[in-house]
Amino acid sequence: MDVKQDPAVQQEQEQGKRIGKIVLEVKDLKTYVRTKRGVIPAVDGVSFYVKQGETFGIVGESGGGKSMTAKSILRMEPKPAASIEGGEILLDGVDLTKLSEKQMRKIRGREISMIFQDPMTSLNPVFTVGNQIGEGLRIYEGKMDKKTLKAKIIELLKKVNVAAPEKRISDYPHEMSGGMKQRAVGAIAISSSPKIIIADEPTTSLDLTIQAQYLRLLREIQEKSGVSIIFITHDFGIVAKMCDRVAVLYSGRIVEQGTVRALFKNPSHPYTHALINSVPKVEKRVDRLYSIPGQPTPAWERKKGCYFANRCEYAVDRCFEAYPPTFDGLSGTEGHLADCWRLEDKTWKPKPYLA
Amino acid sequence: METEALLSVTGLKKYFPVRSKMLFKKSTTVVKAVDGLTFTVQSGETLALVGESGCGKSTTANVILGLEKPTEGTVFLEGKNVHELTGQENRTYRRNMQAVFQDPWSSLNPRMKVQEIVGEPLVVNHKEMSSSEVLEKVKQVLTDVGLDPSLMGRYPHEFSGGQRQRIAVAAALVSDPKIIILDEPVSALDVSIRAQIMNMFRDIQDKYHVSYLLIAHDLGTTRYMADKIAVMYLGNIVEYAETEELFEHPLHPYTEALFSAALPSDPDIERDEIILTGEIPSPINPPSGCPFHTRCPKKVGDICEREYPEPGEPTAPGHLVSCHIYRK
Repeated sequence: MDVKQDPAVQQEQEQGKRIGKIVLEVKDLKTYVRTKRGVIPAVDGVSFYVKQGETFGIVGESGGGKSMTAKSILRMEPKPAASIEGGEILLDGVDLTKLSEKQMRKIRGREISMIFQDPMTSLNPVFTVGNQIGEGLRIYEGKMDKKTLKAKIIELLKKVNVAAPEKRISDYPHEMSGGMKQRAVGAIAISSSPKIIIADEPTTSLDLTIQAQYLRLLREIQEKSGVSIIFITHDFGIVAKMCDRVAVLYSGRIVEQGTVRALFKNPSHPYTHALINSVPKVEKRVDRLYSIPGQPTPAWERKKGCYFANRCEYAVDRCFEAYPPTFDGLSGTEGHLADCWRLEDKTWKPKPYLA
Repeated sequence: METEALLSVTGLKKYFPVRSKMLFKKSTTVVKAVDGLTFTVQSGETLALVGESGCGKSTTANVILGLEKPTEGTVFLEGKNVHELTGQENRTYRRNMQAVFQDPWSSLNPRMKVQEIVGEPLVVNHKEMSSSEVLEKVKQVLTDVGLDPSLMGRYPHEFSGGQRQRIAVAAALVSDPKIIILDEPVSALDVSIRAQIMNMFRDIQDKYHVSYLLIAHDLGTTRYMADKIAVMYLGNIVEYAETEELFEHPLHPYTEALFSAALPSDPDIERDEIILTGEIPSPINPPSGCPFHTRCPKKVGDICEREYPEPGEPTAPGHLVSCHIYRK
């Protein structure tokens, strides 16, 4: 059941470094959607990579292109309205954009699995939990006798810390508590030993204490299997708690990306900076929240220049003329990138918001 | 409390009968959605009810609004029992209490223009107002909630989520209410819009001196918006205090666990999570004694199962906690 990995990576992990080589690399991905208002670039040239054992956050607001990015990686962009118009999605060097539907079926669920919103209700009520976990195993690992299958299911349930898995295997979902159901869904997600789990807002509909349980479970799964997780969320709190690196999406483009610490300590793009300051803190009462004026411009009304310019307090003439280039090495770290004209001046940064 | 409270809820209980499995047999079991709440809201302040789904927050709101009759207990607004009002008096009083709901996509009538939605309460309740007076008032509240009055001829679908929530607030404000019940007012909105709307709520409160009863599950939002907080668990208030006092010194084991589960605002913040075991018990058959004893990591002993802990003020006046740990 172990993830196949090269010895170097394994050695690194044994030395306590859990992050390995690059598993997924997305290069200049463009997913366009045809609507009656014209062709909309829902994903407009997105580039990022995810390393083994790493948790990568994709954060943004609705319409930012988070879910479309995730769907494109799985080649589940809503066809025929949407299509990938450019770029590469390299999974261990294989370009997923070039694969046929039949070949993709071998990737989905097996190499990249997905957890959707509200994981508690994604079990089928008329099958036992063991049956549902085994379903994936039978497909991914081919025919096997009942005994081996059962042993494998029990092993999976143990991995997600289900007590007395021998008994639980024949339970129906309604016989399990919420926490147990979460764990069963977790077991299904890792049943194929995927390289990547894409979690699309998996805790948005959950209560606080249940959310905490679930996030902890995902961490446990990652520690045990070394899987990479792509977390799609609108919540900076989840990013702060779970992710190693993060990309901020705005209107289909990554406006800033880097390590979570770099982004929180030195947000360089005015949008990131504003977003972080517009979330009320649990730890401390702020006098007044920063609020970004207006709302994202719909794609069909977009003008040339930076998409955020019309809401940006730092915008200068240039911002309305052309989309800014990506600047690297912000806050002194390589890989901290942002798209903003103001960053041409190496000493510039959004001014700290005094609350 | 200090002066006479604007809203005063005493011993409020709301039980719902569970339909019997036997046809024609009268049901004997009940869901104890709200099981004895007592609190007050002063004029111009915000009280937040926090808790997880099923704790009875929304039922409480519905009973206060008069949408449900309480099984026991009373709700007084400005000294009048909300559930005993009838006829004209009822109508006059209802104006004082308004509500704004979570989902601005379903709470506005899609076939009415904004000016009709916002103006309707005036047309119904203030027949003496001329249509130009109504329009004047509508324009004024729209401006106050940050909407351009020139857009009032449009329909709700032409607005974004944040703008729709502003329309809902305008429709609530137009009757000059004393208290507005905000049921998860920002949780359906995008992050950048949330801050706008929360700031608007605070500005409106300063200008109109209206009270809010805020129902929320997000702790950051409550810390930003509320003056006082009541933490609910299984139909009971387990802890009640001023916002800063509660966040700085949470006393009840459930409050501690809830706060420890909150997402950090910074990656360097590591909280010692208190993971609660087990599930929230069913309100059909709630635990004896303290409702939290089945999951409490700090249970003192048998007393927790036997006796309901009456609220006390162990550390600071006005900071009430229902827990045997703090009872001698």
